[in-house]
Amino acid sequence: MSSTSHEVGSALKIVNVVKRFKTPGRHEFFTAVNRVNLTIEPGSIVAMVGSNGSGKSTLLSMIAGSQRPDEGEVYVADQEVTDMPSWQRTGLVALVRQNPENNVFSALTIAENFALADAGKSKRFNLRPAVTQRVRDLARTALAQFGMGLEDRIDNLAGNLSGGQRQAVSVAMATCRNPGLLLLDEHVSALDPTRARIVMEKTEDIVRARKVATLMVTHDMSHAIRHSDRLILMHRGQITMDLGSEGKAGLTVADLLRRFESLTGETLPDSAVLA
Amino acid sequence: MDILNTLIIGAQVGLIYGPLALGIYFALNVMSLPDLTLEGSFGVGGATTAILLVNGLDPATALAGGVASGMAMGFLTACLHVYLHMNVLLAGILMTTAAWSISLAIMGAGNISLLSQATLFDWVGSFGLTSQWSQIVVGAVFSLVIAGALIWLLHTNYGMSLRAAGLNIQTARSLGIRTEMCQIAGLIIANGLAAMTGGLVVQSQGFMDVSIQTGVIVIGLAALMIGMSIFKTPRIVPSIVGVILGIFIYRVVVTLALKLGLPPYFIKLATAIVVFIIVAMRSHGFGFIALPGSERARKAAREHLDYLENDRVVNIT
Repeated sequence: MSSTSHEVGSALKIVNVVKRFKTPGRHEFFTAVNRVNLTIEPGSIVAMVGSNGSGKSTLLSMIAGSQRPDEGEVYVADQEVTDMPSWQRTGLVALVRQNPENNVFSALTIAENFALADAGKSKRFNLRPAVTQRVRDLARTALAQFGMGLEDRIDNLAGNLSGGQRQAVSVAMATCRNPGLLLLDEHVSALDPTRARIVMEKTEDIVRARKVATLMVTHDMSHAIRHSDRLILMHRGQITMDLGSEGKAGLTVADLLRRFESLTGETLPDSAVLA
Repeated sequence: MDILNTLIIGAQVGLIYGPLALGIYFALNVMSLPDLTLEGSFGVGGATTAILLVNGLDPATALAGGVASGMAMGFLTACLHVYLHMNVLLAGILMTTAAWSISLAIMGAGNISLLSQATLFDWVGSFGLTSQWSQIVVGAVFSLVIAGALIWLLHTNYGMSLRAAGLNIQTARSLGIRTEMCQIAGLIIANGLAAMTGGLVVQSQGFMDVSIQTGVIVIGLAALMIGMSIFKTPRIVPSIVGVILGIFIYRVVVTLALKLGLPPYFIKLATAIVVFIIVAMRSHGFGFIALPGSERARKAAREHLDYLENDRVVNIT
């Protein structure tokens, strides 16, 4: 299942994807994602920004498999995944969510969490002990990249870690599978600014070193500019701005917010501005 | 020697409930599925074991048949949950109601006497043990073997995926775990264990009556609550050891209550009160008996308010 991302045509290809939700109590539909087309090159990091309700999360859910599009197709690493359940997408897609509770199992040790991440990759749901020496080495190597000393705590319950440490573990778990596409759903937005910066920088280092294509949703415009190769903006279910590395060169947070306002007539909630 | 005698009676009556308590632990704690079918599976397991014994099967095979019937009940509940999208609590209530009729249909009568049939307990007794000690030995062997098997299973790759499915379905699925299959497997295992205790109880008391299932889940629940209060940790080994200790402690408490002159029809009330006390101790510590105005009382008040602020309604329809 696992794919080496630099050998495929595109890490992600979304074709004419539509997702509607029924508004409660009425027979009207709200179109959350409206004919979106998006292709992500292997190994590139794409930042996605947009206000609340712009359809970013719905789009991410359809790529991760927790929701299915009404129309259109989704391909990850050249493989069609449109109607595939999320558990079958392991190895193709890895998702790190905003809330650390949803990325690691607090009631399990770090090593056990890695055993689950690793077993998902090779589908070995067998009756051998889960935490082997190989899994422990894998966990230690993956965690050492963060330089937070987590590699010495792999037998601790994950619930004893702080939010920042848990997100570091989540990124390490998600990338150790070498997924075709890594999805980051505001994965540092629950952390304080210093921890957010550290985890974000380490995430970029790891993703670049492993050449994992990444789609990152963020509310932090400076992260969106600094840690990406390409920046896209979603508004009312559509991609309204798409800046490559040339378009992004020299872009400041103030420029970005101004362009957003002129495109949409709304102000963008930016955690960096609010802070 | 009265204390020793109480402990021995606790072990004698309690340990054969070990598999049931571990089944409840498995369903409620590991899989996070509040499955009341376990009570019905206990009865169906007892009925199947009894009828197989009457039809001339050996006690071990009859017990295995009982376990299989419980597993089938668990499979049906899981299918109601997974395929009819029914809340597990609701599915369990329905299945337990149905189990009453299923047990009667299996038995073909309201009760079956097994006094002329050889049981596992007779077999163990043939090694020269008294009936009391053969009950303790059979109960201990089943409890310890099941406890060991669960500890082993829950540390394998497959067991780890079962635990993951019981902790967070979304996270588990994103790690490649087919959670609905885990839930089905989990309920099959849990109900098989409940039926195992049903089969053991029937063999131990020498008759099967359809009413034995009534309220039996509370015994396991009491053991689970006591066990979880001994070692407050999500780790598997202390939890399982705690559940086995819990079933023993519960039975010792009930034995003591009876010795102190409590009439037998109060046992269920006593059980409920024991569970209430344990839950109160777990959630409030000694906050209840703290002096008003003391630091302990303020802490208890804070925790109580936190609980009310974070309470959530669950609609099971």
